[in-house]
Amino acid sequence: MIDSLWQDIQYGFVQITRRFKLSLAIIFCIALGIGPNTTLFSMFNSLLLNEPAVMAPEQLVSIHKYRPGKEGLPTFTYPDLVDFNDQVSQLEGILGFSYQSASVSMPEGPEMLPVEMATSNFFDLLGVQPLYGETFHRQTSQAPGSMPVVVLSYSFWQQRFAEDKSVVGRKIKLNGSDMTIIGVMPADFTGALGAFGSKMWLPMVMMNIIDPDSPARLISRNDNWIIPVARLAKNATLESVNQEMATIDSKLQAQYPETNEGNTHRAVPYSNIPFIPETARSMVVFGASLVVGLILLVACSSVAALLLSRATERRQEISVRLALGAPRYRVVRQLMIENLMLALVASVVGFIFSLWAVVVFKQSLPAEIPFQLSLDPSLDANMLLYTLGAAFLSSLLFGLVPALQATKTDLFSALKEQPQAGGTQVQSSKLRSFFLITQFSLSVFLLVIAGLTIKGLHNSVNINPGFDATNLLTFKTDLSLYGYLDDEKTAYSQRLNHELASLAGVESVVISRTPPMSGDKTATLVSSFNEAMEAGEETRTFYSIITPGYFATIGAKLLRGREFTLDDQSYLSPKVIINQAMAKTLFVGTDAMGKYLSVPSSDDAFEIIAIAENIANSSIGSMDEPYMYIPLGQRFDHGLVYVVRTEQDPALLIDNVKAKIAELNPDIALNMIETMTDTVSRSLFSLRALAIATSGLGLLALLLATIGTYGVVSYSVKLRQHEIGVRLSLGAQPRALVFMLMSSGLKLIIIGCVLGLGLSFVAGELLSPMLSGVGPRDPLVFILVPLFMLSLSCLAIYFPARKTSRVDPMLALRYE
Amino acid sequence: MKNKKQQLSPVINMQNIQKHFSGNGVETLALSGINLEIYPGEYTAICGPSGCGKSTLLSLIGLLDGASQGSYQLNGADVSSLNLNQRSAIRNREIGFIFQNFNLIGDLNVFKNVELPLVYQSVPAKERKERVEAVLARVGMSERMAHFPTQLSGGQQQRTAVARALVTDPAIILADEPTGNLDSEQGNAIMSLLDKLHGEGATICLVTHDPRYNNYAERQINLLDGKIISENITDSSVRLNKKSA
Ligand SMILES: Nc1ncnc2c1ncn2[C@@H]1O[C@H](COP(=O)(O)OP(=O)(O)OP(=O)(O)O)[C@@H](O)[C@H]1O
Ligand SMILES: [Mg+2]
Repeated sequence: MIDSLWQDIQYGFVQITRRFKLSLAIIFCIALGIGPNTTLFSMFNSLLLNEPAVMAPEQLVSIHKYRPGKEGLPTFTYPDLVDFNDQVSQLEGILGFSYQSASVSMPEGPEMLPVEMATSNFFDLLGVQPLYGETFHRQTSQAPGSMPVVVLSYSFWQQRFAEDKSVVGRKIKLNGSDMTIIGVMPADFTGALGAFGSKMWLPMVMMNIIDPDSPARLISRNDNWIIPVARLAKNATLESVNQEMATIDSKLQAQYPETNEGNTHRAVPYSNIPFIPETARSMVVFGASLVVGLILLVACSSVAALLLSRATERRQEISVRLALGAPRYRVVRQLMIENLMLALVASVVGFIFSLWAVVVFKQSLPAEIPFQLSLDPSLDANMLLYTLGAAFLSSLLFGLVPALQATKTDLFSALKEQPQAGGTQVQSSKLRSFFLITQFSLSVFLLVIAGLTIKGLHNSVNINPGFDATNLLTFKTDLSLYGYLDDEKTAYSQRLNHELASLAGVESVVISRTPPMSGDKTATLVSSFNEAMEAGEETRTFYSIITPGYFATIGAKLLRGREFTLDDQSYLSPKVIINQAMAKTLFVGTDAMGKYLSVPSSDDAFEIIAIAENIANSSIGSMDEPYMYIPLGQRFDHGLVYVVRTEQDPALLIDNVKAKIAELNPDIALNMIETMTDTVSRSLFSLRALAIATSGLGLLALLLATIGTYGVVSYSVKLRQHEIGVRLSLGAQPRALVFMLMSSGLKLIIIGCVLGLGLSFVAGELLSPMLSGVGPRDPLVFILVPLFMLSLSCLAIYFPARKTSRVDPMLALRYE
Repeated sequence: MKNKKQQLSPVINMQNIQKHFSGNGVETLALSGINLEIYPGEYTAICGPSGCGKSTLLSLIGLLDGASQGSYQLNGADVSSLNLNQRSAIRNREIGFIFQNFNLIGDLNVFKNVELPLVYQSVPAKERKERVEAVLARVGMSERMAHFPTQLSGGQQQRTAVARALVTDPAIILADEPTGNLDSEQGNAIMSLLDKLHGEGATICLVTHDPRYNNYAERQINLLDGKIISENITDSSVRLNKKSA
């Protein structure tokens, strides 16, 4: 058995090296088909499947909070977490953490970095030891600010301190506060969720340096901001935990009916990525897998079609083996081993391709994500299994049908043939047609999706956002974090405002809570007052806080009324500016100017002093949402964004702005300093990524289909060389022969296109709501894609056909 | 040295065999009413004009194809209604083929080509080597074991094919126009090789067009339009005379 397998492998090797060009083409196709699959899997692998590097990860469970009518999410309020942790006996304990960012003093100046706030039992419950120094532990004092320590991640230690072991005990500044470095974690430890790591861990009680609202957050049973992970106690099961949690829930509900009514907590199997709801996660996984699966299918049918053509050429060899008494399964096995060898090489190539693709993907991620994504594809057991599985599956997909077909020959006639002689009937053309049609319809399908997405992107880029995005620079700072009191904040802001405005090249400076296209939205409920000052029905609206001159600075238009002035900043006569959409929804049929609004969190009536044109406040898609603007003095908030209009390219001013701020306070880090054009392009990140991914995959499918067609046509034309020689010797026109050779292939391609368009109609219906200004049957895309396909495949058919029709008839006939 | 055939049971025993081809709208009755017995050690030639069904008959004997009707016993066992894999196994053990177009596998060298039937029999590697070397010595190809078919002359290719047919020690060797693609000198060499094998006790069934070679066989079966019309038995002494002539 081993001996005969070895024979098959040896022979497979001979075949592969003998037909080197064909083998290369097959490896290339399958590698291109497997590559996107391994790329996707390696991402899933590091995001979803990798266990965190902690003690006994199989004992970990996630905990979901269920609120009435909502899907369970892994969130906890801090007091609930403390209560559960104290009361539950079926769990070893519950730890909690939260991703935050902080300004960290770095050699080149302060930088905003992702940090993780963790409960004091975090390291003990995970059962991890530091590489150097120590970690923090459960402490009796829970007083805010009582543990000014940090534990560094290995990567941050490497990057910031160049692996200096004496760093333990030194101080590092976070948001202007001194923190003592007490330890460094080992390289493989990234926290409680495999891929979502941080630069460092801080005790939860230090939340006050991260978030000025933290005193309130640490006692609120409304504010769900903590991600829980728990460890099962000895002999506990999910059921026993949940029984106990239910009793604790009912106790808490009785105790805090206002906040906890209807809320339940349940332990669920541990997940690496718990904060994305199950349904969304499976949809993403399914959608992405479907697309890359289709690519593999295209690649496999391309290769299957090639192999079917090749099998015709191999008919003699296979018949001889069968005539000599090889059982059919042996010959099939031999062919399959050959295919598997090709697929294995291809999957290694595909894996290398995916290493590269993941690097590219990581580089293209937006800079501002609140955690450190460790997406490092490595050849671990999962990956190895997957790669082998993909190779095995694809060799079955592309090889089994051709192998079965090849071993079903009529021995008597096959053995009578002269090797290489003409007259061989082109076999199995039905199956080959099936594969060609499949790959064409799938390619058309993928290309149409790509076309629709590109068109959507194009539309989004070209929509007028309602303001002038050129020559704008924005950055964010949060003064509350640096110990400023309210009065000091105002003074500082005014001073900064003044200093910035006087910088050379700056036209004007305004402050806004959420500048255009930032992606942030804050909602509130408002109602309009009628003539009798009776409040009407409440509607949801979004709002921002701005300073005078905002509209002029961003280049937006006020349709009626005026900008805020410094006088409007007082609380005495609150003013508001609303956008057109809000005027339309709240004041149907009446003039909104001079009317009043009520805002729930305030007792005052806000007077409407202007109506602004709709602009893209949070994103391109938000143009038509109701929106209002409140002057800064009326509702002071932390985390404000400075918007600077410059005379020239705003990127040139970034260094000057940083220097100015460092002059005022060297600890302050600027969050997200970027030009508005970058903000706009970042806001289109997901759409652009989708467009790039789908068009890349679509073109890949097209390439594969073209290679497949070219190969198939070359082979079948070669097999018809004798026939063509005869026809030529009888006086046929080469041009007519080209047409004859092309017509059968073209027929299949057209059928494939039509089927692909049918599939695309369905996809169009699903996609078009997500794309601005693109109908489900966008005529441009639905005409261009098949035309493009057709012309390309005509070339793929034309060249081999022409080559053969030009052959010297004597040469073709001499094979006899 | 040779046993009298009457005392033995036949290797091949075909009764009332009929074969027709159908497909592509054409019905062809290639063979009908064939009764044929071939005894161990016999050298039989099947003769007849082109298209009379010689190759078809040989393919039925060799189990490359199944008869449409009739019974067929090979070495006393009924083989009329076997499935593909069973037929494969019998071909492998009982039958050696020699084709007009040699049908060597181009990607395998001489040794590997000859070894192939033994591989399918799962003969251990060491024994395979011994047997292949022995049979190559018998056909005079010991010097060319590492050559690939394209590096051989037509006659050498055919001798390799003969070695491949012999290596399993089959009950019968079937040769369909083994000299058809060879010049007369090479053809003669192959015919004398077959003759030598016959002398050593092999059972051979030969199809040939060439009247010069008919007389090598001790028995001639004449086909016409798919039927056996006559049979000549040549005396051994006559046969030897003809050969030396
Ligand atoms: N696969 C097939 N399908 C249909 N008819 C066939 C097939 N093979 C052979 N025949 C027919 O069967 C008949 C016998 O063919 P066969 O090849 O046995 O002739 P032959 O005696 O070997 O001729 P030749 O001496 O020319 O080789 C012929 O009429 C041929 O047309
Ligand atoms: Mg014939």
